[in-house]
Amino acid sequence: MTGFRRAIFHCALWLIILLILFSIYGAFQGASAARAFFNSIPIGVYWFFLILFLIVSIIVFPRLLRIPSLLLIHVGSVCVLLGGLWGSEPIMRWMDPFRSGGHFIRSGRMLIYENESDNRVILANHAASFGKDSAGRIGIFEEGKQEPVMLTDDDARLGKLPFALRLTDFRLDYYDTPEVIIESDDRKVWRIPAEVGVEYPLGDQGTVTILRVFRNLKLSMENGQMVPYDHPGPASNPAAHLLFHTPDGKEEKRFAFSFPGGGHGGGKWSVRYSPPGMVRDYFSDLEIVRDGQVVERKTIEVNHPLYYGGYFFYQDSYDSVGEQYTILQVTSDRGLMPVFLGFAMLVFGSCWHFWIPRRRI
Amino acid sequence: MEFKPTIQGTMIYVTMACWILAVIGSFIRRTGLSGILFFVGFLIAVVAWVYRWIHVQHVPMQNLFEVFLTLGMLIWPIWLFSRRVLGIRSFVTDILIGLIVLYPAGFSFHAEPQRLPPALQSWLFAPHVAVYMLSYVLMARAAVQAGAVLWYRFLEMPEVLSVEAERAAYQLSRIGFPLLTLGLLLGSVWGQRAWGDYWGWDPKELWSLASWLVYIGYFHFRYMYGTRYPRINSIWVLAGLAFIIITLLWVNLSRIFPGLHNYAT
Repeated sequence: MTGFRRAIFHCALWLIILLILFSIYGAFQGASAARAFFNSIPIGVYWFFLILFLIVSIIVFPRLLRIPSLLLIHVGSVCVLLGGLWGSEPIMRWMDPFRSGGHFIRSGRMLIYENESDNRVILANHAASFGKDSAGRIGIFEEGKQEPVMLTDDDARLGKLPFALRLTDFRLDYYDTPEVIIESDDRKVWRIPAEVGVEYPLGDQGTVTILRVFRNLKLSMENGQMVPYDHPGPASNPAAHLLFHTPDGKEEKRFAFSFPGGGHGGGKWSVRYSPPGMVRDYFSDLEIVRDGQVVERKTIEVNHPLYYGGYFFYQDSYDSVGEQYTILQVTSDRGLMPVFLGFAMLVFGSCWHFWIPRRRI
Repeated sequence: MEFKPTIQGTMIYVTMACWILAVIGSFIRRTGLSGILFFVGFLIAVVAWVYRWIHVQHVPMQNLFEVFLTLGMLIWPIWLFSRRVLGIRSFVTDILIGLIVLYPAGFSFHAEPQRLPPALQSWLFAPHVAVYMLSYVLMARAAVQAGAVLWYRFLEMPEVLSVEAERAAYQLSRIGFPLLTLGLLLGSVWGQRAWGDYWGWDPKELWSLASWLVYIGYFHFRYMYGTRYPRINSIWVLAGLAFIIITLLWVNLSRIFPGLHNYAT
């Protein structure tokens, strides 16, 4: 090895060791701090030198050009790094002035109510906690502040898609379907699915209708009357509000609870509510609206995003109280092709290089 | 320490008992019997693994209990492969790795079945974890050989022994490395599909990147200096395993650092 090549090789080794140290540092910082660290300017300089050294190595070392598996591995690495750089937040912000129609959207989140459409994306760095008011304005909650900051449509924290997304329906799927278990005073038992508004027959003993189900039932006093409501928050007190009709025309309202011993309130019926178990999956029916025309329809769920116009739309979160809105994650596909192409080259190249014995020439 | 008085637990204990007897058998030079015991233990581990699959109704690679059970099951096939294909003889150390891997499955990790959160319901889940498991076992065996190099050198035993062990460590790392790369790729494709980003910078990803880079460093170093510094070569391989262990146990070692992979406890 000549002195020059030896120097390049030493540099390569040190660049690898440096990246190991950066990764360890990042791992101790946690995900969001690590993301900021690897997107910072000093590390940007490091990325630049890493790519430069890889390209120089490919040119300088004839072995890398002669052995196809090694060439694949190294060109693959360059592809991954260049793709990652091209799709990175700092590069997009730097190129913002060249885009017509607002900021580049690398990633962010959208909040869409059922039967409404929207094209605004809250950009990733500002999307810790947010909501929408009745006029459709987006408010974000800054750290440590109680009142949301309302954003105007040209705010720098919002990106705009060249098309709109419309949510036609949102639904949840549970591991256990919620049920109401009813036992009459003569020990007959019915298990009925907890569907709101459907009237179920109870043999010759009348019918029952589920008026409402609660995730976290609380009572409040309004005008001297107890009013049940679903309290948002981490606590849980699942309950179902039931209306019984007996054959003689009498009505009886009861709450069914899920905690043990919560079922007896006196009277004819003993009731219990078996709340939905863990969420198995969630679905949003989406439409892409461009110039007033619906150009695409898709039901998305976790792991099954919608891809349209250079953006991926993922099922991210939802309204856990009323199931009224969905929260989507939006990411740009910029740089994705070179990254995955590079990954494929790396995998293919390393299998070839390390698993298939080479003939010595 | 948690004893599991269940069918699942019993199968793990019987496997471990077989392998302990196989090690003893090997020391008293009953090699034929030892080989049979190693194989019988493997068969019981396979039954335990399939039983687990049927019991929880998903590929048993979700929590640490299942991951270590899978690792334990892989020991025998990998031992056979490296003996037949690579010509590496490491009967006792392989069984010991198997015992070390099965010990936490049998005595420390909880075995309660868990339901899969939505993001883990992907066809990429099983290959991503399986490929990593396979490469981790190979890298652990490489590290044993690397440790042997240091040991032989320390005791100033005949050089042929350490040369042989150094070569074995390199061979095993060569077999394991493409799998490590594939695991990283499958993880990033899955991340792209489930969370919208092929790379999330979370601690577990960064530790796995660091371990991947250690092997990259090792291959570059060994290409440059060959077998001139067998001890430094071995330290690279041992560092690789150390990083892998941290990757595997990071969520358990420290719950202070927030990240995506936190569900995997």
